[in-house]
This record gives sequence, structure tokens and C-alpha cells, in this order.
Amino acid sequence: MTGRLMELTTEQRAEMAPFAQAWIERALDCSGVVDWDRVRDGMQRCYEFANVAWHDRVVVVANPFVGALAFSIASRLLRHDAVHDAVGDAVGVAVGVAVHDAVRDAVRVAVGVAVGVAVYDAVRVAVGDAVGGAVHGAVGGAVGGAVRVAVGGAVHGAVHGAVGGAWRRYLAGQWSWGWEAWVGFFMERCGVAQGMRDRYDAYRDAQLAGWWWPHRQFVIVCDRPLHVHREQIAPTGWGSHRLHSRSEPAIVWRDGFGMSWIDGVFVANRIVQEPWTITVDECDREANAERRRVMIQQYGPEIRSVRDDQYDGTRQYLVDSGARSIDFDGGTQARGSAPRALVEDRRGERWLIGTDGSTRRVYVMSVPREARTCREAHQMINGGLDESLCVAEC
Amino acid sequence: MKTIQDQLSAIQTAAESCDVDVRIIKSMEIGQFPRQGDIYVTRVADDHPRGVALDSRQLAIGNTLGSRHVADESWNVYEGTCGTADGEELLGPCIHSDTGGAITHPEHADLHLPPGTYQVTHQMDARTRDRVAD
Repeated sequence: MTGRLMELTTEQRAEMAPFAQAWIERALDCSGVVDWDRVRDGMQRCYEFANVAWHDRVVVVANPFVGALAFSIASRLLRHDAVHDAVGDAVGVAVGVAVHDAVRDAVRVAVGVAVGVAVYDAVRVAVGDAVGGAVHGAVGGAVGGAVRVAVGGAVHGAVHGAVGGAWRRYLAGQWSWGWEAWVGFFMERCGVAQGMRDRYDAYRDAQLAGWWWPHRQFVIVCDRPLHVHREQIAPTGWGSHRLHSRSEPAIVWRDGFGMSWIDGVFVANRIVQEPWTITVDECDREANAERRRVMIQQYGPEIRSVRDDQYDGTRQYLVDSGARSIDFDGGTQARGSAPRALVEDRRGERWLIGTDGSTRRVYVMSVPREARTCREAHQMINGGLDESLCVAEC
Repeated sequence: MKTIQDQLSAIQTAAESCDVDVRIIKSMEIGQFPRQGDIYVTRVADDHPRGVALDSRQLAIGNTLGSRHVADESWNVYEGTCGTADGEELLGPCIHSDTGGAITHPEHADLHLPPGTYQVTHQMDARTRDRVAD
């Protein structure tokens, strides 16, 4: 192709959404076995593009925690043998940066030169952000945060200094595929920057598994997980999905190791695996408001109660915690309306308790602390609609 | 009804004896609304501002069972651009039908609404200050 790509065809525009969706499905597909030969080959080619000698020592680990610890410890041990290297080079930081610069950034720059700004941004939004939001934003970022909390302290205590922080320099594998999809659309559907196709293919292949840490003497790479549970909360783009499961860890790796999120809030596995052990005092002590909210939702001493998306332990929590009644009335009087109560818990938070009118369920809804009556509380959470104009509830 | 236990019992009894039949609404004035779960469907003027036509008939975002509030084939579904009340973050799609039609849900009773234009809005979760995740 000569000249810059200044406009997408109708066909290319129509292809963007399904192209992004295919990348999302591949990124989250936990059913297949990783093609490790292809991954190794991709890594080797990345090293070659980065002018780093290939060592052919690729160690597969089960999950990111193991990878972060293993990389930190191995880097620390090998550092003693690398007295002539700068610290960063010895721990492999320089290798990761070299791969990033020589492959990923080089491809991105080539694509940027080959296409107009409007086209570049249109594909970034429609493809890159769609995949990024569904995969990296929902999963990769959340896992990164959890590993940072759990592993960071342990690593810092064991291998302090420059080496202790080196584990953060991983390349994110399948969970960074927003970039691969964005650039891939230009490569595969628009035929631009074909001079960089070898580098793109190498990087894409190296990224087919989980997080990986390139080092001058080895690579540590994570296996893909066994399952990932997310929920959609916006149509597309960054913030479109979050990790969520109330009955089992949202991510479980093939070695059985799992981590839990509810509504995108990171919680201890016990909160989803043994929710009947949650106590009122424990909920009240929790300083993080979001975590307290999901703990109360999971609350309930009955072991057999299934914590699915319909379960809400708030009602039981309010009874057990000695909440007090603020108001009680007969509902809106529209067809389907029913009695409801406004109650206040021990921390002063207020809740409207009622039924929807057709599912036989009782719901507990958080309302502002300023609410003084059931009617006022409902109008505060319905966007200010006047209850007297309600014609039916169900 | 002095104690919370008494009040919860009354609410539970009402829930168990609820009316599960379809809600057929034959006429609605502008400003009136029915509620289906955590969405409100308010009758608005036919020239109510709206965005582009949407392919999806689902009126709430999400992939859970609770989010399956669906406008049947009688409706044209548009991006919502103008709320009926406070909080643009609570704004859902705008729907229009010349014949009237149903809004279905796998768990809640169906709503049958008369012809006209309606703006969907969502219930708010006071803790997150965002729309309720159904």
C-alpha cells in the first residue's frame, strides 16, 4: 500500500465490531490448551527483533502469583552472577523494555504513520477499546491489582531493592489484547504497515498465553486460566465489563488457585466459598464501603443458601444487626404495589425493603441517609419520578 | 407494625400473594409510568429527544437474567439522550410504537403499553450512586 489510509470502506467499518468480538472471545476462551511451541517461537522472534540473545529456557508456571514470586527470586539469585551488568539488565527489566520498544512500539509507530488520525482513532475506539474494556479493563487490570497487593509485600520482604519491584515488568499476554486487536485490524483487514507484519506476528504469538517475564537468561510465562467469570455493565469500551461471581472464585487457574471478585470488588475467597461464616461484626468492621456492601449481600448463616445473583443477605443482616424501623407504608397504590419499610442499620445507613409486585421476591435497596419516609426514599432512587404518577408495578 | 420482624412478615406475605399476570395498561398520560423491576418506563411526548436507532431490544445493560427487560417487535428502540428526571447516569433507551406493545422479562410480569413514546430510566443504587446492576 502506498500513501496513508485516510478513510475506511463501508465493509471495513462493518467488520470492526465482529473483529473485536472475535478477539474478546479468544482472549477469554479457557477451553483450549495453549500452543506452547507457537508461544516459544513468538518469544524467540521477539528477542531477535530486540537484539537480545535467545536462551531457549521458557518456564511455564500455573498462575501470576507463582510467576511474580518465581521471577523475583530467580532474578535475585542470578544477579549475583551478573556483577558486570547494570541492575536493571540483570533482572531482565531491560529485556522487557527492549521487546516492548523493538516490537510493540515499532509496530504501533508504523501503523500510526500509515493511517490518518481519524481512521487511527476510529479503529482504536471500535476495536481496541472494545477488546481492552472487555478483557484488559475487566480482567487484566483487576488481576494486576490483586497480585500487587498480595505479592508485592512478600516480594519486597524477600528480595528488596530494585529486584524486588522487577516483577511488575511483565508483559500481559492474552489480557492485553486490546492493542493486538487494534493493530491487527489494520494489519489483517486494511493491509497497512505490512513491513512490520513479522514483528506483529511475533508479538501476537508470544502473547497467546498469560503474563510473561522476559529475562536475559530465561522467560517465565503463566498458563491460561481454567475459567473467568465477568458481567457486563456497559455496552462497550473501557468499563464495559468487570469480574463477578458470587458462588465461586471469578478466576480459577488450572492448578486450582483462584481469586474472587463480586461486582468487580476484590474479596477473600471465603466470602464466596464459605459465605455462611461472615459475621455481623465482620461486616461492620470492614472499612472499605464497597467490600462491606458485597459482604452484606453475601451474608446469611444458612450454609445451603445458594449465593447467585438473586440472593441478597441484606435483609437477614438488618434483622441480625438490630436495625431499627424508620417508616412503614402500604406502597404506591398502583396495581402490584405492596407494603414496604424504611430501616436504618447500626452505621446509620438506610434501606428500603419491599417487593416488586410479581416475582414473589423481597428486595432490599440502599437509599440515601436523608430519606425520612418510604415514599421519599423511593423517589430518591427512581431519579425523582413522582410516585403518584406510577400506574403499575411488577 | 412496631417491629422490623412484623414489617418484614407483612412484606413477605404480600410478596407471596402477588399478582403475576401481565399488566395491560390501556391509556397513559404524559409523565405517568409503570415500573418493571428496576426500570421505569415513562410516557413522554412524541417529539421527545432521542438518539440513533439501536439494534438491541434489551432495555437494560448486562448479560444476567435480571437485565433481560426486552421491548418486543412492536417497538422501535433508540438511544436515550434526555432523561425524564434527575441523573443522566440513570438514562436508558427511548422507545416508540404506533400500535403499542409489550415489554417482557423472564421473571417479572410483562407490561403491555399503549401506543406512544416512552423514556426508560433505571433505579439508582444509593451506595454506588450508579444505576442498579440487575
